[in-house]
Amino acid sequence: MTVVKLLLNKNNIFVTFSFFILLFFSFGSFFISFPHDPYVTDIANRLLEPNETYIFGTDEVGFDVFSRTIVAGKIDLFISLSGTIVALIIGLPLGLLASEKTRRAERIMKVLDMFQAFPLLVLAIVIVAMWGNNIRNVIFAIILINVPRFTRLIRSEALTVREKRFIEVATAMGGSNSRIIFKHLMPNILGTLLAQASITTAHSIVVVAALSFIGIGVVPPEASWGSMIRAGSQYMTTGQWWTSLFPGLAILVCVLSFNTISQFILRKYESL
Amino acid sequence: MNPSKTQNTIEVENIEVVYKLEEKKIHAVKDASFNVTERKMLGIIGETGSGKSSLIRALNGLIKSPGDVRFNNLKILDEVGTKNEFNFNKLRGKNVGFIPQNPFGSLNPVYKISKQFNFINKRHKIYDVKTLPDKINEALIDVGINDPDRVKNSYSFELSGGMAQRVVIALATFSKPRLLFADEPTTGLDVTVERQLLDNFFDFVKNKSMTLVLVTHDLGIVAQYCDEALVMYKGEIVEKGSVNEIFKNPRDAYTQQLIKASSEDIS
Amino acid sequence: MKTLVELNDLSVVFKQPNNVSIHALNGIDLKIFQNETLGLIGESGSGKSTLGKTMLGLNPYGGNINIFNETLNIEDKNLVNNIRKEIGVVFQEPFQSLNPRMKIKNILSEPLIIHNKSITKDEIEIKTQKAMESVLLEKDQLEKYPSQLSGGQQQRIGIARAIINNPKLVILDEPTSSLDLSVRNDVLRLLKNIQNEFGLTYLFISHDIHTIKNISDKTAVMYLGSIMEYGDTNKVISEPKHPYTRALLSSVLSANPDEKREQIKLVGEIPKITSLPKGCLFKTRCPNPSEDCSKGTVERKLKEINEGHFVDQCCASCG
Repeated sequence: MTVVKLLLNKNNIFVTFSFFILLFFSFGSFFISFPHDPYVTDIANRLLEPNETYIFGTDEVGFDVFSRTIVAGKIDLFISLSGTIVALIIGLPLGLLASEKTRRAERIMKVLDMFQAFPLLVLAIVIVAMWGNNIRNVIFAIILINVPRFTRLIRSEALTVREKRFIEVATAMGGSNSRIIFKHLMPNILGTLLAQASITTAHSIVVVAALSFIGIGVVPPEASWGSMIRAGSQYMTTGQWWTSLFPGLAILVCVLSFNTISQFILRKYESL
Repeated sequence: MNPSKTQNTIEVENIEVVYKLEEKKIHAVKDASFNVTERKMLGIIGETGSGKSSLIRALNGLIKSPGDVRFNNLKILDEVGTKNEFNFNKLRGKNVGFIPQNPFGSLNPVYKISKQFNFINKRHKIYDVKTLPDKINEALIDVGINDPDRVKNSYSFELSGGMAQRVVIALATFSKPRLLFADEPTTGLDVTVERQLLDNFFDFVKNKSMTLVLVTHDLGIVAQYCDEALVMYKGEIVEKGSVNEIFKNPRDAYTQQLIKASSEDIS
Repeated sequence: MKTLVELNDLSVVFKQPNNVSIHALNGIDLKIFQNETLGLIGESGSGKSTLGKTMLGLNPYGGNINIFNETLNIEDKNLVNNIRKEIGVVFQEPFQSLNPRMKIKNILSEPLIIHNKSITKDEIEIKTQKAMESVLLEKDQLEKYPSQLSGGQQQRIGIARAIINNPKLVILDEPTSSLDLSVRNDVLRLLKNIQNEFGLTYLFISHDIHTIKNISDKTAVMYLGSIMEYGDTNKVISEPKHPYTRALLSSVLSANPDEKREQIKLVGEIPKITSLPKGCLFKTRCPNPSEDCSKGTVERKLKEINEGHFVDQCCASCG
């Protein structure tokens, strides 16, 4: 209920806008009846400039850019979001454990350091290239890249909160370790966590696009912004700007939306 | 107290400080006006939320506010926030000194103390470079530092709280300002250190014929050292007068309550 | 008078990463009697806060802590937990001591649940409401968050939380120092009333002499991790026998402009807690050290000079 109230507040217009954009890209393809099937090519109508029938024009094999941009949204956002969420689910307990003053915590950090010594993006590329171009592997790559990030962030937030007086009080009262983690630590890092998750999702969108741009992950005929941009890149110089531009704009808009939401979360969280 | 509007008074008129927080406006100081007799010491008493810190910052031009401070017919605050603020800045360090609350917040930890004196000297062209080292030593001795050479060559984090605050006082008064503002200068210091510092500080201010406006929540400081006082509550000045008047015959209800609480025996 | 806590030759040393040792407590002998308020007064570095924390088992120590008839052993987690459940704690900054994301009712019920996992919701409700009453707060504040309360109210919550389990001992570490003057006395009065009502024992730590005078029955003056003087509060404050106590009391500024007090100045500054003087800890500041003192041959110990009034034996002869 309060979420709805917040969104309707006129000061939060950008946030509301962001929400709707993301909803549109995520679920729009289920409700919109496209005038042209996003998976059907039409060589005869290739590289048509945006007009009344093809709102965003067509690409080199006659795909309708408009419908494909929206369908790609569904896939790209799904990958980014699910990868981020799973990375968060894994990173959260790791980070909390790593914030304790135990040997286990030190071991976690050592493993993390070793892990992050690899260029993770390259590692992700290798994995996907080896195990096959499908959605599952791309999600796996996103998880791989983001678990260390979340672990570190959560650990550092938890360390800061652990220094606070009320944690000392909880210990002095006889509170158990799990009580301190669940009742005291977690509520105080949740906001930063969610805000970071939002930003990480934005970042993941770009990573997914980068992967499919170089031909890894989601490849045609499946729709994906990265591959669409790649397909259209060779035509930028010959004047067919629409094939790359619209998927590019879609990425931009979604990233901005996640960033806006992230800032909003932080602001609301800190105002308490 | 009969404030005489002669050359010997500093007149503060209609200072107002408003903070904007998201959609709310906070009136920290509502229309403060008062006079300070030159070479006297005025204590501004207030608890949290009284507006005393905002007031003193506005007086020193650190916060923009309407109203003004007139000092020997010179309007001090006129130029804050305008393109002439540069001129005011020259006045600020030179004729008006400011001692902030936390010494470690106001001393730059990457520079030795002597260097911080150098900066001030250069800015206000106070002393000749040749005599500067001796003048620094003098300044430090004046504030009760017995080993000026060691302190001069230290960094701020190497000093104790009391020592650091003395250094800040020496820096703020280096250019021999006529008017000195102090914002809770002894908060956080131990009782014995605070007392020693204050004894020395007020003697120092008297000897150099400075006019002092001091903000504090500690009634003892005002009772023992100041000549005049004013009491602030929720942004307003609720009482002003000599220290004797205020402490022995408070007229305002809040002031009475405050004075009573400070000496109350609750057993 | 029943002894609730007895400290014998208590020492606490903190080892810093760069091999520097901080001698926070140096051979403390102290007794806390039931139903009494013991005031601990001292400046920064005196170790007064460390003393309270050590009794809670929050750091290792040397010497003996006998608390509620048990010898404290921090290795025994069960014992430590049981002892902690019988001690209430109130800290200095009220807002920092409360979890900003917890409602007041949950803050208050937490010690109840820790103490007794099988407590029912009804019992919790009754006890939290009673606790609110005893600190003179309205029941509807239970639904609020700490940031919605004033400093004085927050501190009352801190106190309510500390006493809700009827603890044997309440440790208060500078509970009124961050409060405005007008609020301070109200809180002190409240503390006195609930002490009488519930028969509590207080360890009251403060740097403010006026506060200690108002609330403690007995006072111990601490300096550099050691007790310099101990006795009935009115004796210690009106007839201080230790030069440090005298200097401390003389430094207080009276809010009466006619009452002028000359400060008894101490020589030098507080020595660093990393390099303590040998023998009498006070000798570097003493205006009048005796020969034995300067030689460092006098053992640090409290000597009873009048009935119930103890002074560090070295300074008893110098003062």
